[in-house]
Amino acid sequence: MAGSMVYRLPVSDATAPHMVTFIQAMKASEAISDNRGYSHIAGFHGAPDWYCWHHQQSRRTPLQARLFLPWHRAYLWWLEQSLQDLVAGVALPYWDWTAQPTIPGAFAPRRLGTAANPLFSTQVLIPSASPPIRHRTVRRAGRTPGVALPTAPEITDLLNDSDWASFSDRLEDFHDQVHVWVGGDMGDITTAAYDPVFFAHHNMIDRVWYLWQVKHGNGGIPADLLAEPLMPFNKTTADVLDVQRLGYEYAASAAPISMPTTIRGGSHG
Amino acid sequence: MVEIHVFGPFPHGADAMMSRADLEFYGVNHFRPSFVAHVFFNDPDVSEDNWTDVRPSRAGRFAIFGHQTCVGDEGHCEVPVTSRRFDDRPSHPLTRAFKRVIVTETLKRCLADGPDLTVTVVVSCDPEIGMQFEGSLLDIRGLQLTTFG
Repeated sequence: MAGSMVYRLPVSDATAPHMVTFIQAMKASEAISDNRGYSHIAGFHGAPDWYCWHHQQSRRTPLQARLFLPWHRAYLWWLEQSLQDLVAGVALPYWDWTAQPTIPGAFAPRRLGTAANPLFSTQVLIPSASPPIRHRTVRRAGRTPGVALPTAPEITDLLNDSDWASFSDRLEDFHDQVHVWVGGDMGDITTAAYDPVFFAHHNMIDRVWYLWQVKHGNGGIPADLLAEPLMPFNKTTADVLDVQRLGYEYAASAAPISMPTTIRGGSHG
Repeated sequence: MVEIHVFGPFPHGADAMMSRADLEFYGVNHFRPSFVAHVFFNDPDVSEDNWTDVRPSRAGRFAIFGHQTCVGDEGHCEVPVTSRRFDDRPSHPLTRAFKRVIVTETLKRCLADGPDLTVTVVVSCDPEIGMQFEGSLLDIRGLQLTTFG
């Protein structure tokens, strides 16, 4: 329902209702070349804007500023809101690489029917780069020797780690492994977010953090970090701790049920 | 592209009562192609040809999501070495990384080998990307083995 909280569901085949909606929204977003469109938002992460938070330090605190998870949660929220401007009720799907250890089917084919698949690749066009960047995103899945996608037992073990710092570092490393595994543009911070599978991957990372929060609560994040701004999203770390405040929850499935067109019985005349 | 780095032997200082052991990599340079690094303990025979996930000496792995090349103007990818009092912007994106590998079980098995430990790190990246890169993939400022009671 427009304006309601949405459920983020697993990536499924392209004909599933939530994927049809997502593909429709992505197609519309990729067609917009101004600051409302996908390409502009993809540019927040690496080139040309370089806002993403991975290993930076904050001069507002002597603590190690582990803002990797909060920053990317805000980033997902921003994209989801921009897609909802285009298609009411759309939600970002998550790629559970523990259950689906390959490029998800909806993201893999170049075309869906007779139309270009907006989840396969996008145009990277950054004329301000030196040298200017102009290409369509590519993937080189599994080409790096010795890299593997995280497994279910590894994530289960991670969810038992009650220490925020250790949990955050370990989850970021699993995240790094997936970037290396997908390869191509996903393997380079500069252009990774232009590949639509970036957001399905990060949605899974965000879901693991959400599951950890369900289990361990929001405690453990140092108070120093709560007021840290997450640029350019108009949010602080404290603002993104509760996913419901951002308008979404995670679910395994959701089947819309049509409203009845006829009602039998119930006559009280 | 595979490269091998050997650290030690050094005294590990661990005992059987530890509840957890972390191998900590400080100041990891990520201005290079993305790579994965596998860690092996006390294994002089590990080589480019035989490093695998199931090798008993394997202690764990970490990955680096890298900045492959500089796409800015001159100076864009130089990390400032000084900071100013009123500059509280986030530090440079190429600020070096911290990585930890939990090595508890493998280290416990190595206690029987004696008081010293040798760490071998096997590093690999996409061969096609690696061919375009000059230098060592693994560039760190420090390495520490930390145990917790």
